[in-house]
Amino acid sequence: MPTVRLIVPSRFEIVEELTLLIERITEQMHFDSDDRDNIVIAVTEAVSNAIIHGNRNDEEKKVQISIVTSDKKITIRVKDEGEGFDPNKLASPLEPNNILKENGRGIFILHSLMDKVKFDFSAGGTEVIMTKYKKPLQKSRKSLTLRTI
Amino acid sequence: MQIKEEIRDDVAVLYLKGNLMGGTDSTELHEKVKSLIADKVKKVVIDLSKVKWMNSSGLGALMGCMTSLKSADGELKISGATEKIRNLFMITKLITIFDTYETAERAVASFKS
Repeated sequence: MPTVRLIVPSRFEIVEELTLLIERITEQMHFDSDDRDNIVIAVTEAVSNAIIHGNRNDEEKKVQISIVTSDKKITIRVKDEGEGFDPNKLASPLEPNNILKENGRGIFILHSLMDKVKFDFSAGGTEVIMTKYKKPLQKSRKSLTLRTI
Repeated sequence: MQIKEEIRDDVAVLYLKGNLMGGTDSTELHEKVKSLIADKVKKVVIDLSKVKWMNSSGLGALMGCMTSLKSADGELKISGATEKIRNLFMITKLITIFDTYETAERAVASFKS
């Protein structure tokens, strides 16, 4: 399966550049525009979290990103060098006590925009693994070509 | 991200252009609103019609601006949010918190009604 691997410094300029890359990949995969937007926002969210909360804005620390694509789905992994966290202890940003807070919505947004979100802390740091499946009507160029033949 | 400021009577309209995704962009926006408050301008419209991407850091920046204005007895209104930004407002239920308008003109007019 086609894979893109990147190791980038903890700098916010990277987030901007990633939006362009993810837009291009998801366009080539023929995701619909809503899903493309959701995937781009989710990736910016995961990478921002890795930079701010994982690597504490330390530019010496790296963020590892891998993007695996197939006819049916895209899976993006984002790994930082931080100390990890307990996803079960995160407060809901929708609760009245939290809704006016400036922070605490990132992971909630990831879960809302992607079909599957998992966290792996086994190799040190935090790895977010998130997947978006293509809707049945979203045909890839390859499968369209095969049908024509 | 670029911020263009326009003063209409006693209302400041901040037109944002680019992405609002954390880093210096979010800080810059909040600092801009704080400087308006210091200049006694407490009615602010933030226009998002030219913001392409926003994530939770951008939402946090808007919340920060709103909190600072409320603490100073001011008010924040938001205009021009694109569909994908409105979707973020819906998911996070901030649509119930932010006072949103289709255009900056309507947001400015709402201060007078």
